[in-house]
Amino acid sequence: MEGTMVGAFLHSLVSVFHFQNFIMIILGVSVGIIMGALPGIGASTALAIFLPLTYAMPVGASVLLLCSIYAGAEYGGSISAVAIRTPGTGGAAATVIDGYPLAQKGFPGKALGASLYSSVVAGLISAVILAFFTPPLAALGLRFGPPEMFGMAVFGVAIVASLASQVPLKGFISALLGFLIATAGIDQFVGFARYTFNQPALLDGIPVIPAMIGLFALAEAFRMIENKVSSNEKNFDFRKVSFAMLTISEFKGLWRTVLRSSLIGTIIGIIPGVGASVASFIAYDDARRTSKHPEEFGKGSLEGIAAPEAANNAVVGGALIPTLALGIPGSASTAILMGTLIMNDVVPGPFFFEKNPDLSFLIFTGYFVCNLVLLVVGYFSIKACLRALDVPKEILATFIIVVSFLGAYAHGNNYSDMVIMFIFGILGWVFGKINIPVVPCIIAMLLGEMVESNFLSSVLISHGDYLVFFKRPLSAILLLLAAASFVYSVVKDRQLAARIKKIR
Amino acid sequence: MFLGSLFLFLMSFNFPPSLEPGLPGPDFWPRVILVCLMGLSLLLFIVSLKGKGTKEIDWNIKHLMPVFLLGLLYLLLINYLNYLIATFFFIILLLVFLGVRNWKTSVLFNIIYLIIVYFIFVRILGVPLI
Repeated sequence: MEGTMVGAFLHSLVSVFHFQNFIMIILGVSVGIIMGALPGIGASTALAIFLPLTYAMPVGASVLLLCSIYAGAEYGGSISAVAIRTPGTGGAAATVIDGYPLAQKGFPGKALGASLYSSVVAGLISAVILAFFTPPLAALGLRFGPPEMFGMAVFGVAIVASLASQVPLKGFISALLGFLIATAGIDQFVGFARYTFNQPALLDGIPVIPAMIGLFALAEAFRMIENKVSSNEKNFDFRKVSFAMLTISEFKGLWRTVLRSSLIGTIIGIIPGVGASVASFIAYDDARRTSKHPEEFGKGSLEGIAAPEAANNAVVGGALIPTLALGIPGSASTAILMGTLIMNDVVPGPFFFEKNPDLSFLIFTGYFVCNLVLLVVGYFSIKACLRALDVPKEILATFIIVVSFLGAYAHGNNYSDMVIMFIFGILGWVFGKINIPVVPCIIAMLLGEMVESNFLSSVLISHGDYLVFFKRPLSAILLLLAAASFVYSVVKDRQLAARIKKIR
Repeated sequence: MFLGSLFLFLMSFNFPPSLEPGLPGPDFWPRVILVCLMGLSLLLFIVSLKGKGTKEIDWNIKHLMPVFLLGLLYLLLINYLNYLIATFFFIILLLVFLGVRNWKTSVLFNIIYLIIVYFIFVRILGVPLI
């Protein structure tokens, strides 16, 4: 076993440096940094925009491209946080607190340097954790029967739903809508066309990829157009500031913070539904409490930049663990990655490693290498990225809209996919308006078919016993936990509502 | 919020039951979801009634309406026109609506975009756009 592991690792190392794959990593990291830097485009939007490029690629290169974009975007978010006080991604919201003051003092180079080095180190750490924890988790998953898989998926979706928004009830509604959308099309057991409204395009179900492009890219462009007046923060004057980078000795003082934050980020990344923004705030808080100079926090402390940035990049590796090992994506970005894998007929989950050993090692090694590339590309692209912030919102929004249509069309050369993408774009915008989170919906959509088929086969293998889920310990526990997360979050929500009422 | 729950409600009544005897048929799973969905939307409705503090949602649709309409128009036109031509007009109109009156910018953007798309998608990926 050990021998084959090393062999697979070496093999993957060779294929990472295969020309096409390596180009994809460089391209992905560069694009990710720029996209992440642009306010309004988060990691998931960047992934949705660039998804169409992967249609004609081999699966390994596509996954590497998307992972690199994901990692690049998590770092890129700090650029606009530092420069114009607007986090480019949700994960960079905590970076603003110390990054912006430091840049205002005239040291944007040091702020971005701290961000870059911490991001890279955290990415490397989480890559190692990813490589070591995913296979055992998947091995555990292999023992799961249909009832356990059903329980696991319901549990995952329930956690995402309860954590994705301020109002958990809406998260659950969103998840149920996703499950509902996934039921459209020919059903798996008897071939009955459900909810197709006589539209032949819907016989195969609602395609997830165009739906994701609509929800994450097009809806984001709509929001951008709507709020175009709101962001008036000026980019700073390039002549007046120092681009001196962080020195090695300065970074040595950050080691402890970076290590702690990386672990926090990875662990939080593993939990479905808690994304980069939560991780970075927890890491920031932790760094402030354990720092020797807590008084500097908020005024441009390097530790205050390193902690959230390490955490948000570590989330990437962490979030990949349940996605690959169990087939349960915990965030929008991993949902898109999983969608890409499925599109290539690779099903993430317990069988992923047995069936695709080369691909899984390629992902581990590739993700490690992409963090090294991030170091180099990030180092040389700081100025260029700062200039990219001057791109007018109108042009950006137009670009996203046009690319969304193109991406939807190119998905299957289908006109209907464009229409579906457009509908989901508007739907995503409406969801945003009425405060229903999109992520539970998309994850439920992805898992819907799997959940239903596992549900049905569980009932079938137990000869029509609907209580089978509660007769197997693991699935019973998972389902009870899912129910508990619903009850707990909704009750907590009502207490919160009551408290708000009192204050009023 | 009201709108959402009401919409879900109407939708769930609208679905025809599927026909299939035997064990859990194809209708079973959607029904489970729909029952839950109805329950939750009702709950949300009650909570929002009790809360009273529901803020009016600012739909602010004035800005976006032209964009939605343009999108629709684009979807219609693309059936009759070639992708590149339809997109060219779509980009120009979109930019005009968004307040970019500078012709040079929009034409330049257009040309760069279309050339890139042409090479990447038509030449390399072989997507039949034309």
